[in-house]
Amino acid sequence: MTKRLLVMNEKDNVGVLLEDSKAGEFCNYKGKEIKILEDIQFGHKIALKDFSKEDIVYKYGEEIGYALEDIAKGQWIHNHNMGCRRGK
Amino acid sequence: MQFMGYKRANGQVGVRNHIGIIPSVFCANTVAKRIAEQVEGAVYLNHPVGCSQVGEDLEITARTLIAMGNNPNLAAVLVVGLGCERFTPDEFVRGLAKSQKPVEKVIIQDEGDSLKAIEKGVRIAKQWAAEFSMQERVPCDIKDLVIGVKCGGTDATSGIAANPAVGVMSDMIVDNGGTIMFSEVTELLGAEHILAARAVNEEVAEEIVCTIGHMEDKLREIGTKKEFAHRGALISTGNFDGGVSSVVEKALGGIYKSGSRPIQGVVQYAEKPEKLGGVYLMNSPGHDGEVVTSFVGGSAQIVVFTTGRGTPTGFPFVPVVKVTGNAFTFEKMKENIDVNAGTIISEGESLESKGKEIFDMVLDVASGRKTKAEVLKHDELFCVTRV
Repeated sequence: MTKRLLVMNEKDNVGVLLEDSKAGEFCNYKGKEIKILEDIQFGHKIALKDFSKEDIVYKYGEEIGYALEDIAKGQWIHNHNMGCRRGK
Repeated sequence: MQFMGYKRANGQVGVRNHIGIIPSVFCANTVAKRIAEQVEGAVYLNHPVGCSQVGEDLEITARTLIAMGNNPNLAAVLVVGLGCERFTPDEFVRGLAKSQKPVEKVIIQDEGDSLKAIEKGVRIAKQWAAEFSMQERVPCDIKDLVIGVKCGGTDATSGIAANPAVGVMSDMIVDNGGTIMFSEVTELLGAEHILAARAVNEEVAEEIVCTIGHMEDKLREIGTKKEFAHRGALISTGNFDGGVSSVVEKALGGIYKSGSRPIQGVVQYAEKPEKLGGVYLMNSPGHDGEVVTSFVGGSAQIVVFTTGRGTPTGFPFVPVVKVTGNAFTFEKMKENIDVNAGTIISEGESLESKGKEIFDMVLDVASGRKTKAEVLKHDELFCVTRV
């Protein structure tokens, strides 16, 4: 079953899952399926691309932080793997 | 477009008609409370300040307490003093003169003891209560409304649903000549360029950037000491649990509340803008109580408060309209939350339609409809900021 995904801005490289999602399920982004790689809760963010360490994370079309490590497309993005120079 | 409010002698408009019993110092809290308990329509403010303070800290306390008394939702004010406090009841009373409302004071040390002070206070307040119960609501214009917008207990739905919907309401208020105040400067980090671009002129743009920069410096000074590293997070555990990962992400979702109209200026803590109409940034840290109190000081008659995680709080004499973007939270806390904006996510309802619903709710509340926080007598949000 495809999980509902919300991407706030064209420039964004993360989306918000609008349903609790399990590893192995899918969401749809720009007509392509993204495999959800780990359990992600309602309201939390999923990577829409493969991130290298230090890559900028965009939501609302703006920078919200940077990758603390390599993050694969479909992984959960949160404060465990995303830093922010302006503060947590 | 109009609502039914209470016209004050100085031309301001109230949406409630309470008698305010306000201590000038914390030592008078219990006397103020006992007076308010005995008089219908009376409310009191509980606080820990008014003495043993100096400089800017005492100035903010004095300015804020005076501004509470001047808010148009209060028909009359009784100042309750101890008698030896640093913020004197006389200064308090003088500060209320411009409101042209009835003001009296009761000083515990002058009356003899707390029992005598309570008795005198009740006799004064009950007279006012009888008198103001006769005052009728009259048609008032939206240009006389000042609405504060705030979020607390933010989760990921706040930036997606509740705040953008409140932003639609904010634009409607401004387009009808009214005033919107937003704040939470500790949680605007990373959004300053967007706000500066909305400034009415260069000077205001610079003021916005400086206000946020100053707050960031202050936070860095107190928040980055090594021994307090485990206390370094600016946003709450509930924000993280709700899917918000950084202060910038919170800021970008938070600023939607203020809508899209030009920002007219920055107002210092609990001060009233010289000229009403349009959007103002109030300079307050993000604490729910400190922000709501600063709006009330800025003469806000109503506060619209978004909450993804859910909070029941209210203010003693200013209605707080709760809006959640999280349908699960609404289901759990519907006794505390007035508007369910979760339908934007669960049913695909448009932001415009939900924004209009919030606008209509604000006008109903302005005309007397009680918010859920008022009905349940929630009054936690009076809190004076400290330096």
